[in-house]
Order: sequence, then C-alpha cells, then structure tokens
Amino acid sequence: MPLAPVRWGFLVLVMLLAACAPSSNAQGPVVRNRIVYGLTLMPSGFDPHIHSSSELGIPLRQVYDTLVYRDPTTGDFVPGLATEWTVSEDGLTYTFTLRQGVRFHDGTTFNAQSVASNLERITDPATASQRAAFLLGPYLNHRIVDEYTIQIVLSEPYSPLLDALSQVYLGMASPTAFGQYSLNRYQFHQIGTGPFMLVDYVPGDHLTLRRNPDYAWGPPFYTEPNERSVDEIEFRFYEDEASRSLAIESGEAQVMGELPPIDARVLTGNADIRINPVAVPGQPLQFIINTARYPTDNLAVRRALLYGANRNAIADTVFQRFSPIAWGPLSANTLYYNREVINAYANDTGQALALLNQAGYADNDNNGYLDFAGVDLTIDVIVPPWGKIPEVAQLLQDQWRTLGIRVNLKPVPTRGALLEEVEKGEYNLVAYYSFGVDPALLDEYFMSNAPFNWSNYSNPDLDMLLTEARRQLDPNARRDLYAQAQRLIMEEALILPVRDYVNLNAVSASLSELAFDAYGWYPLLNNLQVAGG
Amino acid sequence: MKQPWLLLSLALVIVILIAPLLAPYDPMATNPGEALQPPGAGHLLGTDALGRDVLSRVLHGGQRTLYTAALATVVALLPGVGMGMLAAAAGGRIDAALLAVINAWLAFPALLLALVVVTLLGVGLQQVALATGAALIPQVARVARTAAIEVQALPFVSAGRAAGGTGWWVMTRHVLPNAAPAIAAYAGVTFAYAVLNSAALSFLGLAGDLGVPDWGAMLYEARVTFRAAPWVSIAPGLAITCLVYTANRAADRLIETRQW
Amino acid sequence: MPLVRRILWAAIVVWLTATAAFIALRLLPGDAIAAQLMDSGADAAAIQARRDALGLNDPWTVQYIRFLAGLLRGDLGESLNSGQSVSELIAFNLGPTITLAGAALAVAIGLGLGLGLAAALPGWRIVGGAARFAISLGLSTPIYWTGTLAIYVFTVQLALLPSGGAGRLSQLILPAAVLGFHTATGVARVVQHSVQSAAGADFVRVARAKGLPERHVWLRHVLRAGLLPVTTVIALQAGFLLSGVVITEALFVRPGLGRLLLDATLRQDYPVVQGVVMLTAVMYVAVNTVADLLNRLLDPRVRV
Repeated sequence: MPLAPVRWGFLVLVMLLAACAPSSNAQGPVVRNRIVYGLTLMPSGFDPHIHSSSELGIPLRQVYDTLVYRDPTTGDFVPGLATEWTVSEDGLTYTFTLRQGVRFHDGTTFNAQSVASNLERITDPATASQRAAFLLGPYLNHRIVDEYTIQIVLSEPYSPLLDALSQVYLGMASPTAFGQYSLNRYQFHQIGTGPFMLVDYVPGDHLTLRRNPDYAWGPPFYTEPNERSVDEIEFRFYEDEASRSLAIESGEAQVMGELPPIDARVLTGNADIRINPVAVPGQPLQFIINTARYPTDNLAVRRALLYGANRNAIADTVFQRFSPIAWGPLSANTLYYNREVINAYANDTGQALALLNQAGYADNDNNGYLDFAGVDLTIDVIVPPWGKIPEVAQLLQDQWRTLGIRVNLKPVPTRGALLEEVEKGEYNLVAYYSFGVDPALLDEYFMSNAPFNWSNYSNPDLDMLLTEARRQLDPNARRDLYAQAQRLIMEEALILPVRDYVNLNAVSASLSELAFDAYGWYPLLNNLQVAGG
Repeated sequence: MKQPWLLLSLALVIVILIAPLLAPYDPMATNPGEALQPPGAGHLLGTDALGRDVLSRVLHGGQRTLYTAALATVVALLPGVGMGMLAAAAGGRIDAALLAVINAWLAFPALLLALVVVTLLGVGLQQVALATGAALIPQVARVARTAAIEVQALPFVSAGRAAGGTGWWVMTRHVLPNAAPAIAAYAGVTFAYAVLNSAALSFLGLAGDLGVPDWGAMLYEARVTFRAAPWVSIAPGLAITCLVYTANRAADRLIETRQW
Repeated sequence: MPLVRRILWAAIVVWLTATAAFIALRLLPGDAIAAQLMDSGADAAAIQARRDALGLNDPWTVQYIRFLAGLLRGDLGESLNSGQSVSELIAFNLGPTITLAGAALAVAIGLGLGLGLAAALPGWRIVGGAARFAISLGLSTPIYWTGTLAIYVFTVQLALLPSGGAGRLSQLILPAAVLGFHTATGVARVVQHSVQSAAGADFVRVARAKGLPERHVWLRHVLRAGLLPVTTVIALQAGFLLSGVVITEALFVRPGLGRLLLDATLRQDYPVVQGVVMLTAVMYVAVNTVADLLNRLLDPRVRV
C-alpha cells in the first residue's frame, strides 16, 4: 500500500522527536509530599522588585520574608524580619530592629546591610521597578544604625509604608544573589529567607519550590512543619479558563486559582474538590463615570444610572452568586471600609425614572428612548475584554434600555487601547478594578491631579481628605477620613460599583490548611498539609 | 439546474436571510433569571449565559457570519489568485520578488494585521472581514502560484503560446481554468478559516457591536460554558458546520461541472 | 535557484517582515509602559522618564536604525515587560513549538493523505463519503471544541493521558492528535481535489490507452501530478504549526511561540513581537524552500 511508508515514517518521526524532547529532572532529597498548584496568568516577569503582577506573588510569597507581616485574620502588623519598630514624632523616620540569626537560602547572613542593599536595588532607576519602588511612596533614603538596626527616612508622612513593607514586592532578597546576576537573570535564581526555596523556573512552563529545612523565623501564624506538610510545590500556568477545571478534575493539579464562576458552580457538587472563594480587597469591579462629558456631567443622570442598575441580577448570572455586590469605591474587606455605603443606590427603577424626568428627559418622540431637545439620551461605555466586563456591560445595556437610555458599548482589545480611548475623553463610563489592602490606592483615581482620574472630578475637599488620610498615622483618624471620602464619592455618584473581586480557588480534598493572606491573592503555603489517612 | 448541492447552498443562503423572521424572541434581550437553561419548553435550544434565547440568536446570526466569511473569502481570493498567477506567468525576478512578499506576508501575525486595520479604519464588521481576508491572501497566492506553474508546464500551454496567444489570453483561457480545481479546493479551506478566524477577532471586540448574534462570536463566547452548558456551543457550532460543509460541496460541484 | 540567491531573497523576506512589524506596532494606540505602570501609582512624569530610558520617545527613524544595528550585532533586544533577552525568550519557547509542530505535522500528513485519497479514489463509495464528511467536519469545527472534548474524555473520564504540559512524550499525544486532525483536514481537501482532477487529466488517459496497468497509472502518473499542490499546502500548514498555534498551546497548557506572540502583541512588547516575527519569516522561507525542492523532485518539468 502506498500509505504504509508514510505511516512508518510518522512513527519514526514521533519517536525521534520524543527522544529530543526535554525531560524534567528530579534531583535532590527525597520529597514526600508534592503538589501541583495552578497559576492562571503568565506574568511577563517574576522578580518582585521589578515586576508588578499579582500572580508572581503567589509562589514568591513563600520564598521571601518581609520586614513585617499582616496577620491574615486581624490584618494587624506582626513582626517578620523586623522584631520591633518605632516611628518618629514627625512621621518621617521609621526605625526597625531586625531579627538575628536569620540566613538566606544561600547562607548569607541577614542584617541591616541586607535591607539597605534591597532598598537600593528597588529604588535604583536602572532597575525600572514597576511596583515596588512606587509602593515606597515618598521614600528618601535609609540609614544603617548598627548591624541589626536600620532606619527608613521619608520626605513626608506616609501611612501606607508598613503596608508596603508587608507585601512580597518588598521581600528581602539575598544581596549576594542579586549581586551575582544581571537584572533580568536574577529572577531565575531567586534567594530569600522564606519557608520555601526556588528550585527551578522555566518561563511559561513551571516554577518549582522546595521547603527550606533551616527555616525558623516565621511570623506567629506560621506553624511548624510536620510529616504531613507539603515539601515541594510545582506551579504550572493555566491561562485558558477551560483548562483549569479540567486540570483540577483530572487530578493533575491539586490547587487551582481563578476558576470561572460557572465551573465553580458545577464543581461544588464534586466530593473530591472543595471550592474555596477568597475575597480580594481593593477597588471592586466598577464603572468610573466621566463627570466632564454630557450627559453624565449631570449628577441626577449619574444617580439614575446607579438606581437603574440591577446588580443582584449581575452577581447572580455572571458571577454565580460567588461575589458580593460592591456598594462603594472599596471592597468590603479593604481597610477602613465604610459600611454606610451598603445599599446606597439599591436598585430602584422608579427612583431612576423620577430623577431623569426631573432632569428634563422624556420620551417625546415615542421611540422607546428618553430624549431632550430632540436628542436621545445616550451614554458611551468603554469595554475591555477581561474580567467578565463584556458580560456585565451587556446586562447593564439591557437594564438601562428598559429605562429608556441608549447605551453604546465601545470594545477595546488591549490595555494600551483602553488608555488611548480614555485619553480621547469620548466616554461616559469606563470599567476598572485593582487590588490592595490600604485604601491609599484611591489616590490614583480620585485625586484631582491623579494620573488615572478618569471621572475628571476635581474637588479640593476630596483631595484634602485623601491627602490627609495618607499622611495621618493614627488609625482612627484615618478611618474617619476615609469614611468621609467614600461617602463623598458615592454622594457624587462618581462610580457604579459592581462586585467585590472573589478568587474562586478549587482545592483537592486531599489537602488541608490552605489559608490566604490579608491581601487575598497570596496563599500561605507554609502551613499546607496533605490530609492524613 | 440538476445539481443538488448548488440548489442546496442557494436554499441555505435564502434560509439564512429570512431566518430572523422566524425568531421567537429578541436575540439581544438578556434575561438574567433564566441563564443557561437547557433546551425545553419556551426555549427550544435553551438559553445562554445571559439568558438570551439560543434559537433566536442562531436564526439571526447567520447573516453576519455569512457576510463576514464571504467578504473575507473574496478579499482573500481576488488579490491572492491574481498575485499567484502573475508570479507564475512572469517567472524570473518578478516571481522571486512576489514570492518574497508572499513569504513575508505569511510570517506577519494575523492579529497584528487586524489590530492595525482596526486602528486605521475603526472597529466594524467590514474591518474584521477585511483583516481576516487580508491575512489569508498569501496562502491563496501560494496555492494559485503552484497550481499555475504546474499547468504551465503542460504541453498545450506552450502550444497556446506558440500559436501566438498573448500571456494574458493564455493565462485566462488555459491556465486559470485548469488551475481552478486546486484553487477552488483551497477556497473551501479559506472559507472555513475565514469563519473561525473572524470569530476570534470579534471576540476581542474588533467588530464592535458587542452581543450582536453571529455564529462565530457565539461559539467563542460559549467557550467558558462548554462543559456546564454544551447546547450554547453546539447550536452555533452545528450551524457553522452546515454552512462550511455546504459551501465546500457547492464549490466542488461548481468545479466538477466544468471538467470534461 | 543558486544557493546564494536563495539566501539573499531569504534575507529580504526577513527584513520585509521585520520592518512591517516595526511600523505596525508603532501604529497601534497606547504603549507597553503606561499599561505596565497603570496599577502602581506612577505619575505621568515617571511614565515619561521610563519611556525615555527605553528609547521609546525617540523618533521612529532613530528607533529603526537602532533596531537594525542591533540585528547586525545579533542582538534582538530585551522584552519591554520582563526585561528578559528576546533571544532567550524565543529559545525557551521554540523547543516545545517545534516538537508539537513536528508531531502534529506527521499526523496531518498521514491522516491528510489517507482521508484525501479515500475521498478521491473511485469505487470507495461508503468510505469515501465518510472521509468527505470527516474532512468538512474537521474544517468547520473549532479546535477548541475537539480539544476540550478530547481532554474531557481521555484525561478526566478515562485518566489515560495527561492534559497538558511539555517535557514528556505522553503529554504530546493529545495536543498532537487534536492539532494534527485539524491540520489534516486542510491537507485532505486539497489532496482529494488534486488527485481527482489529475485522475481525469489527458496524460492519464494516454497512459491507460497505452495499456499500462492501473496501479502503474496511479502511482507514476496520477499521484505524482496530484501531489504537487499538496506539497504546497503541507508546507503552508507546517508554517502555521511552527508559527505557533495559540489555542492549542493555551488549552493544553504548553509553552510555545503562539502564546509568546499573542501576549507580546496585546501588551505591545515591541522587541518580542519583532523577534518572533523574524523567526517566523525564517521558518516560512525554510519550509517553502523544502516544498519547492520536493515539487521539483515530483515533477522535474515544473520550474521552481
């Protein structure tokens, strides 16, 4: 048969290729408990000092310790690599007493000089840090007092400093290590002081961590490892949404993040898998409303849009009731969340119509849409393709259509395109969300001169509230200031909050003690255990 | 005409064009309370993730899909066949230069091409069809070139030239008809690719009109719910399969009837 | 064509593609830096400073010359997002791409020839009809479906094969089979038609009239002529497989040039896109050259 040679050729070809295919080597000590953890986004870089993706924090939170930690239940700051700290009267100088006897994975001793080298690396312009340097805010310089004491000096009071120092982006790396490698090679050989060591990183394929046997300086909520503790973790990337549930169901991965809500709903009945929803603090998924463009320059119209939105339906349909509705500019588990905003602008179509009528809108030409001076009431919405925003936008479009508002959805394919579209200013609503614990993240969006002031709202009162809240060190004073800020933002209807971000994790029933830190994204894998039996 | 497949494809086009009249519901009307209902009373093909009636969306979606794929195929075929035949006929340096352009075009990422088209011409259905078709031109050109070269090597072509026919006359009267089967075969493949590739671009939002029913876009949107609610994917998928299958068979018949 | 001339034309193709990509990228709105720093609280001055440092604010001509100069030194630059060297990024992703492409192509050729011949040979009514149906089905079904279905059946339900990753042969089977099937249908359709039309051609009738045995007629005449356009299509498919099949890579969780390019395009990472595009150009030239040489082997009359 003429096809026989082809078939043989095919077999030989496949075998040849198999022989050339790279194989993963398992080296080192015998590993008893090993799991595969599913990451979802492929960040472009894995160096926490340089890159900004939250995804990189998931594995690297275990590799690095930070000066302070946030207790995952209370959110309070607890000692990490720093055992105690004081702040000067003027709020400009922080003095940290460092823990002694800590060693990096490569044997280097941890001391004040290490911290200094880390700070220098982060703030060096040549490093081009995309997040860490900005987290440090008005950082001026550091001062080494003695071998285990270091001071950080700011140019103005900055309350979020401790918050910054508790994030993986300001994890302490071994100066010997990053001194040895060039800026973009270090990410493959990361050395920290944490409970796990980076063994292997192949971009786009996997990242392997192995337990650090000498680890003895964890924060109070880290437990001692025992024979059921997980020793080795392989992180793999599952960018495609459908591949995530397939991997967890087939047992190829034991933990999977960001399951699509529908898959999570389906898997809820599965006895071998637990769905573990974790709320991530920060700015909820919201539509920022442009106050500089008709018709949303009118407060009544903005309020009508909020009243006319049925967010319950959205949370049910798109997010399968896994996400609570968001009511204000901060998610419910963000620091200093003002509970007063709950139920602000609860769905009330009657109220929405009343507001629009009072503003002079009526369906004069009987075409189903409200109009004024012969022009239909139209709003333009910028819609990026991520985060289920297209689905949310389509539901809102329909909901507002029944009110009589014409909605144009303007899709933008990339972040760059979104920024350009916003620059042009021809929008009424634009969708966005971000993550963080400290509400100082509101500054980038709501201060008059903020780079991302997409609502184009300029109010010196709001500016003053936010500035003061950032500088103020007293937690009660901060709480009060942020409460006022949140109230003001919602009174002015600057945003349409939709839902708090909830990370739908799926965990194999064979694991226990999977906890997440205060930032929501980062698992505390030190405590992870394989279930007995 | 006695050719059943040609009649069938004509019928299909007519059905696609009048189908919207048969739709029981507004294809854009969302209904959050009834999302992802399996096929049953009230919704013959079930509902999608936003509660919209799948049957109505399928009935409405054919037009856009047919329009986009047909336009993209035409955009791919005309310049593609032209380039391919020109390269084959001209030979020498011109052929080498055209081949270089074709190869460069093949290597150029289709997504980047689409993004540029949309940047310069704005979002829209025509733009997506244009971008999809433009990305398929070099492939058509390659196939047309090879087919034409093969035919040109046949004795009756040189005979035609020797008899005094101009290059243009030889190309159209002799080479093109004989190269047509191979080109038509690839045209069927091109049509299939056009449907699926334009769907990917619509998904990114490059067609504008979010939510407007379109079989390819529906297929893409239904990816995430493929396991939980397969009917949302199967309906537009089957529709696309029918369309591509009919188009391919009709193309086959059209060519076969010209054979002697 | 003599070797030197071929290499020259190849260089022109690479230069053409790289320049087109260079211009196209800079036509797109926005840029990588602003997108990168969006969540971090960087102000406009910081964003501009970062752009300056990377040379992104220089006029296009300056950037282009810098790019060309780098090429001559063999330096493809560094990713705007990760800082990694582009050559390294490509090297990481090239292996899995070639492995998958090779395996899928083998399946595609075998299956494509098989299906196409079955659909074309006279006297194979039922099998032929089934083959034609399979071809059309494979062409019009998105690989997303078949892939997800395959994973669901073989990995989740039967636990026979792993669903993804790269590095072991077993992880190659499902993606190569699925991708190979879809690629095969494009080949099969062209096989079917070329063989059918070759079978009806004059020179075949002549050969038969000469009294040559049927098998000889088929092997030496019909297939020889019929397979000519097929090599072209196979070369095209090989090119697609090598330039990266994004959906397959994403679904089967494999690193590869497709994902690298998609991410880089959407994040507007100029050096990475330019680098991958140039590599793709080289691969297309190589693959098409092989096809042309094969054609010459099949039919020496054909001018290559």
